Amino acid sequence: MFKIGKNLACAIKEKVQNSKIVLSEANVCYTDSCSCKGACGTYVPPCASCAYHD
Amino acid sequence: MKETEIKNIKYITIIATHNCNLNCSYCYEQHKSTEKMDVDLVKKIIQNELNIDDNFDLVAIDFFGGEPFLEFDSIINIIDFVKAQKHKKEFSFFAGTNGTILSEKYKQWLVDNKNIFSLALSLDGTKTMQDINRSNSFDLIDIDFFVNKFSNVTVKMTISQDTLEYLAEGVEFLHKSGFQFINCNLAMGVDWLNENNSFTLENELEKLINFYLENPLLAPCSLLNYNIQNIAYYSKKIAHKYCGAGTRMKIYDIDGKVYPCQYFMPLAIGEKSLATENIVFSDIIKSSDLDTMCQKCIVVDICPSCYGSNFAGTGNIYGRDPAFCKLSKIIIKANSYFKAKQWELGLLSLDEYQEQELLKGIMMIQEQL
Repeated sequence: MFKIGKNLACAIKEKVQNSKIVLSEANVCYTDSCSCKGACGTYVPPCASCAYHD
Repeated sequence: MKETEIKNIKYITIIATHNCNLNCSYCYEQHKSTEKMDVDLVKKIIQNELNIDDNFDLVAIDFFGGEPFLEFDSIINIIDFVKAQKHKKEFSFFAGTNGTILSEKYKQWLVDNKNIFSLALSLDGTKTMQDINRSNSFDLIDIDFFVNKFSNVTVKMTISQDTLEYLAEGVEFLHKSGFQFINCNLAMGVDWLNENNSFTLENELEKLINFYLENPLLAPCSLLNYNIQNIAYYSKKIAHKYCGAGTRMKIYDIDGKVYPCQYFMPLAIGEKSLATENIVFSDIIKSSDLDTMCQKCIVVDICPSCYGSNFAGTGNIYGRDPAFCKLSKIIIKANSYFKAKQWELGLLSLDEYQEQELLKGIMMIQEQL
């Protein structure tokens, strides 16, 4: 389940292969995916990236 | 406090009490008691955290339990004290509550202090779901209060084996009730072995994906909002620790003793807690230190591995539960499918760089997971 169709897969692959962008890990924020989303199910603290939506 | 820039945040959890007025079916705190925090000790701890020289600009202080609002008067006392002092760092307070014991007086205090005090409500979906998981407590919660007075409140919906079949219905219910931010996850540390769980989870995720594609203005719940773009940076040699346990998080138990996260406390795992002192946590993990089933897994950086639950189950913070791993892979595959469909329909607002990250992540999951 959750396999995308052939046409969509081809469109995505083509877009990736034709891109000249070089991805750099320096731009990745691993910490903002952790506790602020409370994925552990026990901890949902406020954080600058998601708590102050207003 | 309003924040528009990312600050370097330290997360401090204060255990307000070991007591809880509910008895949730999946609760990992197996050693509850009526013990509670020492207010003067907590004031000293917070003062110290707000004034020591470290690299953090903001201290996010979380009151946890048991049910922290059983000690509401003490929490008010502590916050009034902290507000009255000058500190080197900014601060904010937070509590996750079951929402069942809020008097009008306490509700008013929360409204009056919403500039420094954020809330999350534990509510497991519809009345049926909540009552199955959380001690028949649905009717005790003033949902309108949370939705109307705290527009940014997060609702935390935990899914147990008994409520898995209602997952999509529960999320839709929470959206219809007015919650914008739904943090939805499978219960940790429980037995997910039943083979039917995979089938049920797939069906429910499919319903949920269709719901969000039909309602593109809603923010998808956390179950369909994984950072799958990070997979584009997968490394065979290292992994990134999924949560802040032991590095960016610090938990103070009622006696002032510090733990890496609440799952390592005696309140949760009893005597096993004694062995946690020697555990070394690092935000970067050598792949060879991981469970063998994770060492070559391309989604290791986004997989919700709970180090406390791993430790409680296997004695090793990296030791995984294969049944939970199987369900996590289904969720991640569902995320890749959902994001691909959103991209196809033009529902995502991404710059060229973000688009490349995401599409690469999608393809890696589709082809290799």
